[in-house]
Amino acid sequence: MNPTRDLLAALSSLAALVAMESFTGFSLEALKSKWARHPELLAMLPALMDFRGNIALAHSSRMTTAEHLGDSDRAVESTVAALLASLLIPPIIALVTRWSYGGDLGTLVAVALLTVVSVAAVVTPATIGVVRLSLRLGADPDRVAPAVTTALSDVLTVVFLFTLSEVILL
Amino acid sequence: MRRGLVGALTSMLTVSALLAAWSSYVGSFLARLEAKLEHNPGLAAVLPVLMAATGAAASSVGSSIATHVHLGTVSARRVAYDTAVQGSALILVTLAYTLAVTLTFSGRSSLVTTVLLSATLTYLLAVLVAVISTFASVRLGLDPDDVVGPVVTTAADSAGILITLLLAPG
Repeated sequence: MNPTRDLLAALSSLAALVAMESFTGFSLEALKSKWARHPELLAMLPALMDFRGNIALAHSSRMTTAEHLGDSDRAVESTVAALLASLLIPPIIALVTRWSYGGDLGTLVAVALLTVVSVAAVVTPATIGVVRLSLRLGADPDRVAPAVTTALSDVLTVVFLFTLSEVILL
Repeated sequence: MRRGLVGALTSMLTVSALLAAWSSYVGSFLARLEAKLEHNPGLAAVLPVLMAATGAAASSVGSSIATHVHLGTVSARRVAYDTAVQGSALILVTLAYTLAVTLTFSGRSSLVTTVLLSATLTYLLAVLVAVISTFASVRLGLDPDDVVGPVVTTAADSAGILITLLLAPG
């Protein structure tokens, strides 16, 4: 145990995460007027962010293992599973939001699905890229990929949710 | 053990669906307490960062416990050390970010008190969840590496929203 080194490592990774997540926070603050008009989107936001973050965590963790093992089949399976999960879970989130808060179910399903698929289209290849780049640079992807990919997922989920809902609700 | 695409998808879907349903339910509280976000300038900018940083700090503790469980070297001293290191980093980073947000949005000084108190309580709760979920997954025959991260981040997000909004004035 080396408290100074460990504290510096923890501070560095958390500072990087906060720098990326601050964009999410500032976007949310700037979009106040939009979610004040559609609070059901605000009700759905934590679930969408959690879900995308969890998929990014699982995908990056599995990709790291696959790269360490040199197992390309495992990498492909994990990527396909991450994409399929992105199609199957959003309707459940919309349904629970409708049940626990309210809102139009069709709109909630459409917004949730389009948001998650759009985020997945960016984050899934980004995860593969971050894992491979970390290995190429000699860094342990287990220490880099989870924070980067979950923060990227959060930022994009907020931006896509309110951008796409604006188009759908027009 | 090789489980292939079906195994990867089943694992991702089971954990994600349960946690997404729970997050959707918690999200309804966020929408119901939306007035507090309106009455506390800067709170919407802090909330996503607070949730992500607390979840990341507690996940790191959970990941370390899981590693030491695998290695057979887990101890109360090790858990206390990791909790102290990650907790110190979390408080420093959160304090710096909240001060920046307070200055940017002309927020009240109560924002700093609310966020620091919420970060501390949420973090301690999330670490407790990390310890319990690690040993519960081992007892249930699951790999804690697959379970602890998503469970801890979801617990931190849920508790973070509720505690912050309940502590916020207005």
